[in-house]
Amino acid sequence: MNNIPLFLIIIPLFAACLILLINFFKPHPGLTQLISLSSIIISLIILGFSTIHILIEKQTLIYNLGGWEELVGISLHLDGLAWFSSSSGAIIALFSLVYSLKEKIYQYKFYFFFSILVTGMQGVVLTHDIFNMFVFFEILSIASYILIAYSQEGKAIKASFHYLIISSLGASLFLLGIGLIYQGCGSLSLTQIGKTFSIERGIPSSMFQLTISLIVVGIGIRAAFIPLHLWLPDAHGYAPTPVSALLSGITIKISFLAIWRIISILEAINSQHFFLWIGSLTALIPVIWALSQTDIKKLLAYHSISQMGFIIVSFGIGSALSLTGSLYHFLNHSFFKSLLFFSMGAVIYTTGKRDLRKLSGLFKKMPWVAVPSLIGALSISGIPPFNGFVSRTLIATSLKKYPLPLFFIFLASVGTAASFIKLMMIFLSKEKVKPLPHKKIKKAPKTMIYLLITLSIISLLSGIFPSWIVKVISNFILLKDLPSPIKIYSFSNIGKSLLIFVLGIFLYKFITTKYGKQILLRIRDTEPGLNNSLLLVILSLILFFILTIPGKY
Amino acid sequence: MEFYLAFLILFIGVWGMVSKENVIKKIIGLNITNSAVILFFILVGHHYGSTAPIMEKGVKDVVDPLPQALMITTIVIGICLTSLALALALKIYRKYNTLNISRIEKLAKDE
Repeated sequence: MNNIPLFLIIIPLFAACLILLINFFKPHPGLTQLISLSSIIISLIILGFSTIHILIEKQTLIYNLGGWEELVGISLHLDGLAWFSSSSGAIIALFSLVYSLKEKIYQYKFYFFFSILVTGMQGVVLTHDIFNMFVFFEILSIASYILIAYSQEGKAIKASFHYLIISSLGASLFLLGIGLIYQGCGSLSLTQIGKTFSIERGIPSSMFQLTISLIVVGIGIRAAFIPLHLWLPDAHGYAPTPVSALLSGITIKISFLAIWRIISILEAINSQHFFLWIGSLTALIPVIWALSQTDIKKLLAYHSISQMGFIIVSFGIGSALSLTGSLYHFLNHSFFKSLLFFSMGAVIYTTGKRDLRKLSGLFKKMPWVAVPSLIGALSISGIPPFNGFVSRTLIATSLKKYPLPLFFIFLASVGTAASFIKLMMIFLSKEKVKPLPHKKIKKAPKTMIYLLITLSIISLLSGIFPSWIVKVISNFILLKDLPSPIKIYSFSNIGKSLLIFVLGIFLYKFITTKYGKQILLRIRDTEPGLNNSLLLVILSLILFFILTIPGKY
Repeated sequence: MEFYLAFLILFIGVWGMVSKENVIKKIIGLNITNSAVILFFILVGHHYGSTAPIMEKGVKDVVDPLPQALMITTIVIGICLTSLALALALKIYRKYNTLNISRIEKLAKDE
């Protein structure tokens, strides 16, 4: 039973090797797809088996690689948090694969790198050795660079290169942090680091702080919070749709969960509180750029950063309620964001266009794509009874003591509502004078539509029955009891979300005026390039170091 | 002293990545950064007067072998990254006929 964590990593890796082997002489598309699908299904079945151990008996399944004891060797831990992120990752990976089968433009190399990506993801989640975590991060990243550039278009290659340079710099910083930890306590196992690497045990506080800053900024580039987010919109926007869904839905959050794990093990309370500010700004600032976008997938990519802000801000508070809200939002965002990416991918697939100024009146032509994407938009805007409403309410409730972050979150929600009204106008608006020629519109494959409907049903159900999921997350995954039962569907909460929606409509009206359009055009033109992005990494490293020195809060 | 040298090399690498416009030079900067971290790690496991960790008769005071083992992994990862980055640079050059990052970004935006 204890080797479950090992199998979760080995199975996708084995599938990747198998795909390479059988395609070595002659391509077998059918067999390739079957292998990659079945590897993820087997992982899900294994995770299902482990549910009893993790959730009900509250055990941690530990596997020590090579039989070495935990202090010396590498150990894999499957605890509640790892189980949660590993299974949500596997589910979204399954959906992405099903979607990719129907687009029919992918060769075996795509499935190979996809399996490697899943391997890296599971590894980062499960490993309990900090250097091993670095290695899995690199596996994850190398696979994602290649998958982002898969279409071989100029923009995609440029985005991939931007991501590669900046995230490799991040990897070097992370490695430097690992070196400092190893120098300080002579161990790489997270358990041992938690016991020995602390200020009380003789580590100088500036060294401790430098280590935390290096690790947080190094991994933070992949988690894409402000101001390390500049690579994300292009990379997730121009990647193939199933990859965008997986990267936006899971990968950035898994990177954040790695920070979560390290910070909670090192008990760096100051740094954790600082995430309150990082998170609230991360929620707000990308929304401004999202409002100005005209590319439908890039708009969604900007919202991925903004929604990450919601997850980060509630991690920063650190109470049981806020952590529950954070993980709930993790789950919800991975479902509704992959739903939105898939439906926009279906729009691009059927019409061949990705500029929202050129798309209009699509509701009549493809109602089965339009309805799920409307559900996705309502979820992300936080309209009851969809799941985004529930998790945002949890986050807002736990933020009550902090008025300024709460205000930022409120503004971010208004902007989100406005930009999704803007996006949904491709379905709802009247057809323009020059509609798309009817012949050019392909029909969306049935599997794609079933996938969209499944995801929207999940979004609806996890919104209607919140108390059950909240209980699972708080009692079984975080092992913390919530202070009192929370009433989510109260009158004031629904009122607030309707207020946000109405304000969003006003904001939308404003940005469609002549004056508003000019402002948005200005904003759209100010996309900083790679050099500024690298400078911001250095700057944020220094800022994070200075602002989280102990004794400030 | 050596630690400061490792950090100095790190800064040189980062400076190269930030200030150079040429894509290839950026990749070289990345390599220098990577090497600086590798040097740092080797220094962490190193003590003066110790010998290589080959356990034969009469060998005492060996250096910590773990950082060296880790750094072999890091070097391999670095090679993968460099080759992938160079491949992407080649693709970029074929597409836009330039290696200047600002011009590439401008051309990609206008595309």
